Formats: sequence, C-alpha cells, structure tokens
Amino acid sequence: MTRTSYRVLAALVMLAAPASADTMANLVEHARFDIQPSGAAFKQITIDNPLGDVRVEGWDRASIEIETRKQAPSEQGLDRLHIALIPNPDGTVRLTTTADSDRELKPLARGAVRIDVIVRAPRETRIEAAASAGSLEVVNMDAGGDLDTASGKISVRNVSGGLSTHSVSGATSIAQVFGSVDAQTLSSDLDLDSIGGERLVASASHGKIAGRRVRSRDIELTTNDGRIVLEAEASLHGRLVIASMRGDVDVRLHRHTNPIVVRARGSKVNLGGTMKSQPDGWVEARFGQAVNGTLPALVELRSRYGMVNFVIVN
Amino acid sequence: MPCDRVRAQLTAYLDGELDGERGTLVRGHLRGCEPCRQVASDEATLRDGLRALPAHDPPSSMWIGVQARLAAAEVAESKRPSWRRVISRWAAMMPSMPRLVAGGLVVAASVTVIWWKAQPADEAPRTVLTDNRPPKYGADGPKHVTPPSPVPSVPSGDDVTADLASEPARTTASYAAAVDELLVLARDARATWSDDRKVAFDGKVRALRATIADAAEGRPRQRATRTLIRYLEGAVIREDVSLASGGAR
Repeated sequence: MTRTSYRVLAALVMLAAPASADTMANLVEHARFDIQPSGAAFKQITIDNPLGDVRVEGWDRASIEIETRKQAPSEQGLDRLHIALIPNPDGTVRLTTTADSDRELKPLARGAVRIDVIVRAPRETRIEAAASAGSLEVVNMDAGGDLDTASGKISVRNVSGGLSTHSVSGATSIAQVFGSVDAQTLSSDLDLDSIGGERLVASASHGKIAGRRVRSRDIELTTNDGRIVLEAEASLHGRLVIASMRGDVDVRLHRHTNPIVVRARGSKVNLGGTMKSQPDGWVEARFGQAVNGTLPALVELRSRYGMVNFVIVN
Repeated sequence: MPCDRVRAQLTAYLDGELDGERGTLVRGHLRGCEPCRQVASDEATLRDGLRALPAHDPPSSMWIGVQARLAAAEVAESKRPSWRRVISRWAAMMPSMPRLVAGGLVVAASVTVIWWKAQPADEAPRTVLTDNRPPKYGADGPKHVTPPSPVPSVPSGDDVTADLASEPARTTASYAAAVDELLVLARDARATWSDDRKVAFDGKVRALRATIADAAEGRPRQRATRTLIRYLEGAVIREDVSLASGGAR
C-alpha cells in the first residue's frame, strides 16, 4: 500500500468515526482532512450534498482539504448522517452525503439534520457540485464548473473557465467570471457582474436578470415575466439577444468605434437614436459606420408585453 | 387553493415537509400568485439570514449558575410549611381584594376544601434539570455547538431518508411544470407561425420529450428537461428566427 493510499484510508476512517471527543449531548460533529494527489494533479471534484451548504475555495496548494460539519438533534441522528469520499486514481474526487434510514428509531425530520461542507482545492480543479436547499458557493477557481441546486442560493466569484449553473428557485449570483456562462433558474433572480468570455446564456422563467460590466461576445438573456436590466460592452461582431415575454428590457451598451445595429420590438420602444420602423414590425437603429467591410455588432431586444429601452454610452 | 391557506403552509413547504401532492398544490399556487411568491421569497431570505448567523454558545459557568439557583429554590420550597405554599398559590391566583370580599364565604369554603386536597402535594423536589443538562464540551471548549432544536414528531414517511429519496422527482416535476407553461405560450404563439415552422417545432419537441423519457430519474432527466426548456424559450420568447432572417445583417 502506498503512502497516498494510507492517507486516503486514514481520511475515510476519520469520516466514519466521530471527529472529536464529543459526548452524548453534543449535536455537532466536525471533521477535517487532506487528500494528497497520487501522481497526477486533481482535475475534478464532484460534490453532492443534499443536506446543507457547500463552499468551494481555490488555493495554491496541490492537495485538497475538506471540512465537514454534521449537525443533528441526537447522537442517533448524527450516526445516521454519512459522508462518503472517493478519491480516484485518475485525479477525480467524489464527495457525497447521505442519511441512512433507521426503522427502529423515531423518524427524523429533514430540517433537523444538516451537513455543511467546505472544500479547498487547487484552482485548476473543475467543480461539479449539487445541493438542495443549501447554498452553493464557489470562489477563486480556474477550471469552471457545473453547479446545481433546487432552492439553495448559488454564488460564484472570481472563476475562470466554462461555468454552468441551474436552480429551480435559488437566487443566483455570478461575478468576475471569465469564460462561457450558462445560467438557468425557474423562479428566482439572476445577478451577473463582470462577465467576460465567448458566450453568456442566461434565463429566468419567473425572475429578473440584472447584468453589469458584461463583456461576453455572444449574449442571450431570456425571461418569461421578469425584467432584464443589462449594462454591457459591445464587442466587435458581437451578438446580443435580450428577450422577455412580459418583462421590461432595459439595456445600456458601451460602444467604442465598432458599428452597431439594434433591432427592437415591444409594447413601447426607445432606442435612443434615429429609429426606423421596418415592414416586419421591428424598429431599427444604427450606430457608427462600417469601415472596410467590418460587420456590425447585432443587438436584438424584444418584449412582447413590456417596454424596451436602449441607450448607447460612447 | 386560497392565499391564506398557502401562506399557512409556507413554512412547512420551505422546510420540504409537505408531501408530494400538498407540495405540488403550494408550488402551483406560488407560480401563479406574485404576492404569495414574494412572501415565500421573503421568508426564505429571512431563514437564510438566520442560518448565516454565527452560533453563540452559553458559557458552561452560566449553566452551573442556573443549576445552583434552581437547586437552592427547590430546597427552600421543600422546607416551607405546606399551608404557606397553598396560601402563596392562592394569593397568586386571586384577582383583587374587592372580589375576595364579595365572595368571602364561598371562597373561604373553597380554600378550606382545596387546602385539604393540597396536603398530598408535599412531594420530593422536582428534578427538572435532569434531562436538560448542559452539553459536555470537549477539550476545545464549546465551539460551534448550537442549541438543540426541537425535533418535530413526524410520520415515518417524512423521515429524512424518505424525503431525500423523493426529492429528485419533486425537482423534475418543477422543471416539467415550467415546460408545460412554455407549451401553453407556444400554443398561443403558433397561430402566427408558418406550417414549416410548426412542423419543425413539433418534431423538435417530440424528440426532446423522447430524450426526457429515456433519461434516468434524477439529474439526467432534469438535464434533459432543462434542454427542452431552453429550446422552448428560444422558440417562443426569443423567436431566434427573426434575427437569423432579419434585415440587421
């Protein structure tokens, strides 16, 4: 057995046993352990914690450190909470939390138990994490990730690489992300700040989308009945499609020298310039002149039942 | 379901304690009722905020002091004559002197009877703290220990394990409800579509639904359903075709 294997085994033993000299009245159990890479660097960590919060922090070390905090109203309750950690030789690590069933003890409400997880991992590790009602937070990572919650909040800050987030009703906040972003919620708000990269696709069925300092080249924001407010920078040959069924659309676009063509349609449209009505019912405005066959950035704004407002900031 | 009934169940709903049908009713109401959705959102925000508060643990000295005071009070109580305890109890219960005078004889008779009945109350001091002893802390002191939360008595079907097992289906149902909502919008919008577009739309939706049906329950099915949601948003809300064929280029 190698030295690394011993370390992993030790970590598993730590997880299986109570972490400290807790006695019968204690309700909280802490554990902390390190996983050292076996040769190849860690490339992905997958976390599935339906019982509480997950926080992932990037750091400059090669190892992964995991802190867990279990909480239950009784010792029996704590014993029913389990954390499984599986480090694979290919550089992937999987962490899963579960609660055992126990027919002999009285039932335990889900709200009475909790497992919170903090992971510190090398920045180059991709994160795939899922939570339920708990929050999901990722900071300072460089390989993107895929984050999924049911009603828990999602918060991402200072992350590079492709990022994908999904939530049914958890508010989603994405800031300082440099890479393609795909964010989707059903009934919560979506907040975007300082996003750069090739593509940004975001949708919220029943929530508003607010974006600031967005520099993605290809942007698609969609809501059913939520307002969309965006402050973005027009990139060369970029494409920006903002659409809502019932919400208002409000866009401020920073332009340097590149030409922009804006088309809009809504119950009331203001493009902030000379607007021309088109035969197909759209309103169009052009900003800047195309030079040497330069393709303009395309902006399409629409709201079937809401207002559309567009402003160019030179 | 009326708003007041939904709001009465919001806490249980946010705790994930409503079973499938009741949860669906509340969820369905929240989708269509903005005021209730706002109430639910506010409550969820408040709970998140409370959860984020740091745990403050009482020092063990406080528990020792409480125990000592309660023990001293119990000892003193046990040494008092029983007739004084009964009079004290009645003095606390009497609302005012005028009423006492007005019902003088009746009350006096009642006191006599009750005093006689109160004789067996000479019991041993209660040991109420037996089950409320403070937690014994480890060598690191009382860190991160939160006060014990009451454990609700729940039927076996609402146990944490059963709740975890049923959660993927609930989440998938939420995504499926969003699909249904977009399909209603599509039905309204397709009146303006060409026949070719209708055929393409129907074919795509059929294919994506087949993918959902083939996907395993849980995240694979949720992922497939999200793909359908994205397609429907594009077709119904963004109507991508307008940009592709429009005069902007």
